Formats: sequence, C-alpha cells, structure tokens
Amino acid sequence: MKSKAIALPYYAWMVIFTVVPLILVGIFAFTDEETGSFTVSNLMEISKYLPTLWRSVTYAVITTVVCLFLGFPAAYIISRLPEEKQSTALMLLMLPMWINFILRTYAWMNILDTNGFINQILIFFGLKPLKMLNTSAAVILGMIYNNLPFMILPLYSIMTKIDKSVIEAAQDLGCSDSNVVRKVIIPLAIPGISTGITMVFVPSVSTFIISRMLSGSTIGLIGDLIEQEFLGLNYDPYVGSALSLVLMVIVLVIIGIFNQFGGEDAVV
Amino acid sequence: MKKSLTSKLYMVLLVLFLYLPILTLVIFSFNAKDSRVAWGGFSLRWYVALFSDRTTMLALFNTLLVAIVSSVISTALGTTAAIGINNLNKKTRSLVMNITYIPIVNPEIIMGVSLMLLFKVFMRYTPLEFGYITLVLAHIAFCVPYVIFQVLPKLRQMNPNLLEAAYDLGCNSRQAFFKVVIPEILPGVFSGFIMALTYSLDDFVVSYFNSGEGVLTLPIVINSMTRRNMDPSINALSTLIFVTILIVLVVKNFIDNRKLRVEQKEKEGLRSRKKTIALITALVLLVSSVGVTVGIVLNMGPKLEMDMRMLSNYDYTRFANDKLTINVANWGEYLCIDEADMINVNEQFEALTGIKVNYTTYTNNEELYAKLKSGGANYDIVIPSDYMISRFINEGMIQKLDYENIPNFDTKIMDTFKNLSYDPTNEYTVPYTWGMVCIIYNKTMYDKAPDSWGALWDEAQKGNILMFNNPRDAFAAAQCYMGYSLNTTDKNEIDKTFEKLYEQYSSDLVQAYVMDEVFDKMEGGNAAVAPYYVGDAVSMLESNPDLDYYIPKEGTNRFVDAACIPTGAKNKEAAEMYINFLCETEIALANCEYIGYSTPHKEVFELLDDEVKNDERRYPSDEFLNEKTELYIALPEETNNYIQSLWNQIKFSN
Repeated sequence: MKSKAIALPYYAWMVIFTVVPLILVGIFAFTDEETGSFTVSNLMEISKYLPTLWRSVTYAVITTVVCLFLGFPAAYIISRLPEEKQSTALMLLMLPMWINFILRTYAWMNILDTNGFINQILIFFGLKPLKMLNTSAAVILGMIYNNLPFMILPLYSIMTKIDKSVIEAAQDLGCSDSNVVRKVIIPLAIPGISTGITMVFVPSVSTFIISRMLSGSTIGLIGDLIEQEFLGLNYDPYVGSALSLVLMVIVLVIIGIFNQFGGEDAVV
Repeated sequence: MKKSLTSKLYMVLLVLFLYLPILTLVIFSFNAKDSRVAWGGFSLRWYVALFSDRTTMLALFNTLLVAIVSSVISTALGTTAAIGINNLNKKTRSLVMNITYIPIVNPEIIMGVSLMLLFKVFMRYTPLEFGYITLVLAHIAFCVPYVIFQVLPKLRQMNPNLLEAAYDLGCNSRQAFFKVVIPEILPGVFSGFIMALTYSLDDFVVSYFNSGEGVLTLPIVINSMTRRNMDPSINALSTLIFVTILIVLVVKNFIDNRKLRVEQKEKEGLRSRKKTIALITALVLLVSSVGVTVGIVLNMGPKLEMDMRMLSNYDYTRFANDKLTINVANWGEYLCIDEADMINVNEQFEALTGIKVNYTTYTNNEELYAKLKSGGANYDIVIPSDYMISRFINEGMIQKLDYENIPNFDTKIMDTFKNLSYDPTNEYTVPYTWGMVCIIYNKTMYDKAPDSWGALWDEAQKGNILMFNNPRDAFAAAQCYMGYSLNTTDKNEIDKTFEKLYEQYSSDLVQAYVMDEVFDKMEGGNAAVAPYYVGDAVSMLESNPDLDYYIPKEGTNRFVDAACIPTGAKNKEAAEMYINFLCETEIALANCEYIGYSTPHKEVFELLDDEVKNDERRYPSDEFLNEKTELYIALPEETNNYIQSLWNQIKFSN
C-alpha cells in the first residue's frame, strides 16, 4: 500500500472546495462590479466601516482574555481531580454545547431583557430593573458564553499531559503553590493557551448571530456587515468579498502570532 | 481544606453560568402558556405539538439526511486522503496538511460565503441550484478535514512491519489493505465519522449561506424562529435531546469509571468522550426521527377541507398528470398553512391541482431582491411590496402576467386596487394584501396616549423605543414626522431625515432595531413603543391586552403587497393558476383572517365583521387614504444607494 494515488480524489476536492473558493474571494474583492476590471475601490469602501472592524477586534480580544482567565483555573482544577472525577467534570462543562448555539443565545435574551428573568427578580425584591440586553456587555457575554468551552478543552488537554513528577519536583524544591502555577504550569501549558486563544478569537471576531440577537441590531460587527453584503439589505458580493478578505487577514495574523508558541495538536 | 473549597465554589459557579440559559429552555418547555418569560402552569402541550409541527419535522429530516450523506462521503474521502497523505514525502505532506487545516481554522462565515461564491460561479455554467446538493457539498467541505485529522495519527501509529508481514504471507495489496490497514485504523475512521456527523448536525453558518430554497435544516429553522415567534416546541426538542444525552453519559461514565478502577484504562479521555457524545446525539436524533414519523402518522386525523362548491369556474386540473412543482416565496407567516383550525392553503392547492408547492419565506423586500438578483433563487411566485415591485419592473426582474389564466383578478379584486402607481397599467401584479404603518405602544408605560410619530423620539421613553431595521421604513418614519414626502429625492431633505435618525440612535433612544422581532419585544412588555404594520399590531394586541395602536396624526405610509412572477420562472402557467387560487374567496378569506392585514378582495371584505370593516385604522375612508397616506414608489438608483449608505453610516460607522 505505498500508493499515493488513492488520495487523488481528495487533492482534487481540496483544490476545488478549499483553495478555489478563497481565490474567488480574492478575485471578487478586487473586481469592479460594473466593468469587471481590477479595482481597489471595494477595499477603499471598507474604510467607512473602520469603527465596525475595530469594534469587532476589541470585543473578540476582550472575550478571549476573559475566557482565558475563566478557563485557566477551570482547566487546572479539573486536571488535578482524580481521574474518574475528571471525566464527569468535563462532561458537565461540555454538555451545554449539545444544544444549538442559537437557542442558547436566545435563552440569554429572555434572561437579560427589560422584562426578563433577572429584572423580574430585581422587581420582586423591590429593586430597580437594569438595562442589560442590547448593550455591548450583553454581546461580549454571549461571546464568552458560547466560546468558553473552546478555551477550557485545549487547556485541560495540555495540563493532563504535564507530568505530575515535574510539579512534585518543583514543590520539593520549595516552590509555593502560586509559583508552581507561574513557573511550571503556565510555561508548559503555552501550546494549549495559544490553541485556546485561536479557538476563541476566531469565532468571536466573525460572529453575526450573537451581535444581532444580543444587541438588537444596534451594534454592528464585521460578521453582520458580511452577512448583509451577501444575503441582506445591500447586496454587493464585491464589497462583501473585500470585507471577508480583511477578516481573513485579521484571523491569519492572530493565528500566525500564536502558532509561534503552539503545537499542531490544536485540533480537538 | 480551604483551597479545595474555593475550587469547588468556582466550579459550581461556572457550571451555573453554563447551565442557566439551558435551565430556562428546559423549564419553559413545560409551560402551559405560549411565552418564554411568563409561567402559565405545567403542561406537556409543546411535546405534543412538536411531533405534529410539519416545518420542524421536515427540517429535522433534512438535517439528518444531509448529515448522514455528507458524513459518509466525508469519511470515505477523508480516509483515502489520509492514507495517501501518509505516503507523501515530508515537504508535500506539510503543504497538503496546511491546506487541509484551512477549513478548520477559517471563520465559518468565510467558509460560507466563499463556497457560496464558488457555487454561483458553477451556476453560470451548469444547471446547479442551491439546494440539497450545494448543502451536502458544503458540509463535506468542512467535515473532511476532521476525518483526516482523526485517521492520520492511527496510520502513523501503525507498525509498518505488519503490512510487510501481510505481503510476505501472500496477501496482494488489496487484501493487505482490507485485512490489515482498515482494521488498524478503524477507530480513527469511526471517530472521524462521528465528528463529521456532529459538526454537520449542528452547523448553522455554512448552511445559512448555501441552503437555497426549500431545504431548511433545524438550525436554520431555529434561526428564523428567533426572529419571530419562537415556538416552545423547539424547547421541547432540545430538552429531549439534552436529557437523553445526559442519561446516556451518566450511565457511560459510571461504566467507564468501574472499568477504570479495574484496568487503569489508557488515557484517551477527551477524544473518546466526544466520540460517545456524538454517537449518542446521532442515536437520539435517529430515535426522535422515528418518533416524528410516528407522530405525523398519528396526527393525520381529519383535516379541514375547503368547500369545493365555492370555487370559481376554472380548470384547476389541467396539469394534474404533469408532476409540476412551483416554488413560492412569501413573507413569514403570510399564508394560512400552519394554523390548527384553519385550512392549509398549500395542501388544498396540491390536492386540487396535483401541482406540488415548494414554499419558502423571506423577511424583507431587500432580502428577496438579493435572492432574485444573485440568481440563487428559482421562484415561480413572489409577493413583494409596491416599491420593490416597481424596482423589479424597472430592472426586468418580473414578467407580464397572462390575465386570461387569472380570471379572478377581474371579478374579485376591488377596482381601487387596480392600476396603482407601482404598476400603472396593471400588467405584472395581482394585489394580495394591503395596510398602513402604525405605532404600537404599551398603555401601562404611558400616562397619556400618544398620537404622533414624535413618540419614536420621545426622551421620556429613552431606551424603550424600537425602530424599523430597514432603511426604507426607517427613513419613512422620520419623513412622516418631518412632513416630507416618503418618495423625496431631494438631497437636502434626505440629509435632514438622516440627522433625525442619527439623533435617535446616538442619544440612545433606540433600544433595538427590529423587524419581526417586534412581536416578542412588544408582546413580552420589553419595550414601550414601536412602528409596525397594522395587521401585525392586531395580532400583537391579541397576545397582550396592554398594547394598543394608532395611525399617527401626521399621516403614514400605505403599502400593497402583490403577487408577481419572476422572469425566468419555470412554470408560469402553473404559477398563474396558483395566483388565481389565492383569489378564490374561501382561500382569500382564510388568508385574510390568518394574516390580519386588510384585503383588496371584494367578497372577502363583505364577509368581514362590521367591527373590522368600520375600523378606521384597518379600512380607512378613501378621503383619509388620499390625504394622509402615501404609497412608496421605486426611488432612482442614486437615491436608493444614497439612503443605503446613510443607513450603513448609522449602523456601521460609529
């Protein structure tokens, strides 16, 4: 079985369905809608939307950082549990992912709305209701909620690989617990951290459903713009492609940076 | 120990955070009331409803079909790919692997739109259309890499001597492959298959851009429900899936742990768990789809049939043996097809004519325009609004009708609804419904009833105001308020309108920009005031008696939605038959009662209750219509683009 030919159908597939579509995005991004000739006007058009691009990146960065800070202790705690408890804990954290994310996000709308659960409770206790839905905080909350497990998984994965004797050695040599984390666990977990960062940042920066639902369409993100150009109010696949290209560059930069530290065992 | 207590507390809080939304979903699946926030007692009605809901069941079927087909193909393709890749030299292999990696790390939306572009290019040269095929191809595209990444490590782990031993013992390469390689990598193949199945089942984004007409998957249906009425039977479905997975996992965990104690199982933890979870979901879905079929069969009780004697004299059976299908695209909840005690218009048409109806919905005129313009849609009938109709006519996107095939137009449509400005010689359209834009408000939040468009700029209701989420209606609201024409092309006036809208946005008056989301928001008491269409206001009032609505004193927009046939429709005559059928009195009456919009149908109007007929907000006097209302006309492209760019400036440049 030394034949390489067996993969030929896949190579053809890979070219047609992975490479060509991306090239098409590139071509469309630089094509003039009217004349079909080369142009940079689609990209120039995007300059109008710089605030949206900036906002998307900012929200995604905040989401990623919060996920890292919430996910790291969780992954650490789970990885230190006895083995049979580990699987239970992990199962508990993963189970919500089996409900479609649109439904879970919708549930958050009902929790945060003016007349939603939280405010009903506040009113019950005679407190003033809060404006929570349709704020930037709500959008970021939705991103954190939907992506947190993608941070915990790779972190946990890498932490279980850390040899216990290394930690014991550090302790024997007089490391305090916090120093064990700082000087042993974190450096060894860096590939997992970088995978987690990529896995949270990419879906966060490109979402369009979460922002639409939790901001009531008052906060536009780059995903909303792309969706609008391809399926929505202002149909223009040329500008849409230019936006997609920009988004791809942002993602590539982030992956590029963090792949410096990461391994390829990213795929879970 | 204090430290472990802190960890425990932390984990408990984290789990609470993750489960809070799911808990609400589960609890409200047992709600007796049709509400997501107000509890009306315990009931299993949504579980019963689930198994008789045609749309959901069909979507479930589609989801399963697409997932199974695409994961089987992905597994075959991915496994052969992995074997070939394993034999490559290092340099080529890393190139191939890097490309294979792309679909996994690329944002889903880029996957979605890039494949959409690819299919559109295909469509220029082949008869391919968006539908099952594009959906399956797109799913394979993002599933194959997962299979490859599962199989490849198994190939690497394989002892190369095994294969040589097989050859030495007289195997030919085919035998060696099936007897040695396949059994060795089978676990990887299997987990790859399960991952492909899982990702396919749960995919929304890629499907959203590549599904086309009539092929709705469950996530797509859920998405459109979040825009209008979220049917709590979806809660019931999620609860069923969730509880089953939970039970199986707990059992599996229990067994695993016992095994672990016995043999200190190899640490494959994560992957095997994901595998099991996926397998379980697949099982659950399979079981539930069986349940669905049973449910559908059980629910096939006596259906409401139309009274054939009331039909006009028309040959509805002339295509009975031709196995035709027509694609109808209409607004959401704009045809009487899923109401328990009313006739199902499409089923009646199918039974009567033998023509199959493929029915889809859109949420606004612009979305319909994009779909028609992009060439992805192949509709035979669409029902756009006035201004979009004239745009379609100007751009040659709809065709002239043969009114010989629609005799009901002459006999049953009111004369005042013929030859309107969007189709002055009435060659393209048959009016379907009409109405006005009104303002809906929550009486409990006002001391004095509002009567003006100013309610949408009322500082006292800051943060409680909903606004149209489309440029034409949003600009019109401001134009009415400021006394401009709704069809102004005057740049100065448009700029002033923009400033008014910008002021509304920037001073945080607006809580949310909505279209059909307005139902949930207003019915749930989450907002004080919103502009919307009268017919919809009527149905909101039925759900929440705290609401009321008025036609603003400054005047308002009147709209007419009419049936048209797009250029290039495949079954024009059958489409005309359908339009004629919509004008049959019994059908039009059912639609009118279901939709709640005003009717242009003479006989249906006569059949309405006096209370409705005399309601000035629903059937105003001709005098009022002439003086206080204005129809949209198609704006010049330049003006349209200008308004669109100003709108984008509000939404995306801040």
